[in-house]
Amino acid sequence: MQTDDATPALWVEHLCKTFFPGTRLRPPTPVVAVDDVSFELPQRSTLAVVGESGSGKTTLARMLMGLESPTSGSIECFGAPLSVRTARDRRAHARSIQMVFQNPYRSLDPRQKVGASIEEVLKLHTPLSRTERHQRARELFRLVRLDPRLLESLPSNLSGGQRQRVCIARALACEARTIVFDEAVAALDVLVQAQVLNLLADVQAETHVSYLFVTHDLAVVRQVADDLVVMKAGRIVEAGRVDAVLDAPEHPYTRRLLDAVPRPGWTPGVAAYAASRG
Amino acid sequence: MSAVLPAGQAPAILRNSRLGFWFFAGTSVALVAVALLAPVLAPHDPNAGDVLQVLQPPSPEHPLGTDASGRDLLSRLIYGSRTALLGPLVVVVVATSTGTALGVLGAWRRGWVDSLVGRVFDLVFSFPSMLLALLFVAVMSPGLTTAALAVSIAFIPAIGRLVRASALREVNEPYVQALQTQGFGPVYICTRHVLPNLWPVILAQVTTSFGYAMVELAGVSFLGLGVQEPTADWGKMIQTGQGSIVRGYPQESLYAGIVLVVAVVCFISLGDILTARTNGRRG
Amino acid sequence: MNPALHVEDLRMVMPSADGGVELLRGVSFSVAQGEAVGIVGESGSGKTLTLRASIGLVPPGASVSGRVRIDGESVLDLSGRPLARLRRDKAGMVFQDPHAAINPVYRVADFLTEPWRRAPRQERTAAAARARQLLTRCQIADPARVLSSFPHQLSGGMLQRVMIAAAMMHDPGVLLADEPTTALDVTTQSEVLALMNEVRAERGASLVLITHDIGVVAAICDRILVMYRGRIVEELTPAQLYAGEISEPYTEALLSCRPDVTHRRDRLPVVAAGAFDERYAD
Repeated sequence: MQTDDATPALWVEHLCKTFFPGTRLRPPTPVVAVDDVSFELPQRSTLAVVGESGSGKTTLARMLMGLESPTSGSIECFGAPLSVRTARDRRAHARSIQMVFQNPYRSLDPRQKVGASIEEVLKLHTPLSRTERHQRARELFRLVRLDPRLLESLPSNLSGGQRQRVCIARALACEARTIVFDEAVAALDVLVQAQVLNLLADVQAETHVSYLFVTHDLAVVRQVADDLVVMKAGRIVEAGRVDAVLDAPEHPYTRRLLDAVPRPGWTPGVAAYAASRG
Repeated sequence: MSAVLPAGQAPAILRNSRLGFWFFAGTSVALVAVALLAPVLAPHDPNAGDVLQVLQPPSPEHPLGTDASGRDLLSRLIYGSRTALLGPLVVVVVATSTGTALGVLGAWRRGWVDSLVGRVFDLVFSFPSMLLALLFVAVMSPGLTTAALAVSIAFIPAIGRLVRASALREVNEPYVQALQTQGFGPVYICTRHVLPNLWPVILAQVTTSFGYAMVELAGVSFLGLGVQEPTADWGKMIQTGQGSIVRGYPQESLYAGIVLVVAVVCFISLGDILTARTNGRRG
Repeated sequence: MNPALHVEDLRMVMPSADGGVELLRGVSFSVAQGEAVGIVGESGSGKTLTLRASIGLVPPGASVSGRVRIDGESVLDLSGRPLARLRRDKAGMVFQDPHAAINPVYRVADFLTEPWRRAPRQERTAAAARARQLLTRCQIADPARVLSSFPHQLSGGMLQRVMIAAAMMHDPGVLLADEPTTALDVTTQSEVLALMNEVRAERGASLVLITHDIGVVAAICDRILVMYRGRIVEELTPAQLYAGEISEPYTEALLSCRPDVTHRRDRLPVVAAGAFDERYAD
């Protein structure tokens, strides 16, 4: 599909998701997880979706991946509306948007060698031959700075950081143009997280992929994102360029989030925002 | 599960060590070997009865003596291992494949499919296998096939529920969701990814079920609904040997009973050890 | 005056087919009465093992040597009832996941007063009153409702406050917290940390806080211990940390490789895995 640079990688408009838990016997009390969310992810850039538990950010990510269907609203990837009704649609969707999950320890089939995980995805999406698939897997490993010898390892023999890199390689396998990271660095050790963040920046520079970063960590947001939206109870309470929002937050919730970030001179529990930035 | 004999629990030292594993595995393999090599091992034709040799004590010609029809007990015991192992094999194969398929289906689809599968399991589970056997015999003729079929169906819920519970856990793992987002179909994901991860659990259950199936089938044969005369079968031998006990010759029932208990304990203990290993290895 | 917690040359080895894995390699530190000490490190550093060993929670099969004393009483020598009494009276523990650390079938009130089940009526009533008091002290607005709730009806933050109250029920000399806020929202984390600090300062109790977030320990602890692969590699104060008076490269790495919420850097400074192994090998 030919798209110009102006077409956003992701265009979300008035997206809503309501869950109806409960059985037929008890009247269901609806839970509104996502409430009228609209945003845009420009090509080759990174958008952060910030929120805490219950904010709806995970449901949003799942809807983008086709794991949940929206109650109302629209999602467009490079101008084409998202559809996962048929298996074919789902496969096509996977070629344009991929996801890296939070838990590196359960994101890979524990019985499958990591190289095989990647080649399996290549087999589904590309007409490459077996040798070509193997070659591509090696290339992808090099791209994420993993020793190609690790292709033959089981996930249990790799560290959390290495596994997350495998997942990133898997996400890049079909040259998807958007990758959604659902708290993908939250479970990593501090030193490893830094390496992965640097890697993501390098990958983006090399492949022009767009990132959607779902996270609660504002420091990570500052480091990786160009734009951000702040979600609370399913709604977007603030949005804008990262530097603008984090330097001068307008919404009280954004301020509370910033107040909670440990830094030199920080005292927990005190609404220090006004004082320390004053 | 109704059991004619209590479930065997071997001494702890045998259960909890490598020694135990090899002991039970070895004995199980030996039993299978005996069944396969029966024609070679048995000194006599198990169905050849000599009325002049009725109820004989052990002798060089008949190492374990003879039964009330003059048939060599040792040969009958050896040949009896065939039906003793074949029946449970059929049960395990049928029950495992059906139970696994239904369990995974329910776990994957959730919703009304899962409820339906659950209710079917509950319904079948509420029937004692003996009753099912009676039902089947009323419809078809008695025999090993009928008995095996009845017990197979009785065993489906036990395996099915276990598989469903494990499958529910697997299906909710991030890697399954990752595969879904890639666009792999549900059948592919279940067969190529979920099942291999369930395999250790299924294998352990299969071995234990084999032992229980052996008990159930022996019980069914004991009641006369399973293996019919003159085929040698341990459960049947316990029944036909009853008459001889009163006359002071407990050999037939006794030997058949002992061999049955040993076999059942071996398979069930092997299954327990395998279950403990797979549980220990996971997580 | 005995230190609240004194650990001397703590070593832990997990035997395995090829020799054995050294989990703790001679950990030594002391926590004075009323002091707050933070232990920081990555996975595999042994920080959780150290904390658990302090109250005698040793992984099955591991061999432990060294000395651990809580308020002068040796922990590693005890077992059974004396150990249980020590754990109950002298040390309060707060774990990472409150939902996993509490029995879901009991109400909060029963959980808090469980140690007094067999006590005479007077003591039971006193305990119940104390539980209420502590819950209020832990910033819970409606203690009666929380007391009659089941764990699954409460949020993570609320339940963690309950756990802090539970830890303080016996007025322990030392509060041990293992990643108490890692599973919580960042706004709740801030409040719970402040709470822990206040509550223990009020009672004069000491605090040993374990976390992977060096910013957190620097905010509320008097001293920071940095652990790497089973050893303490550096000990310093928050002031020294932020003033750059750091002697170990590992500590420097932990501090500087974190993203900074105030500004973006071109690249985060990064060290290769295993770069420190040689330096801290024994």
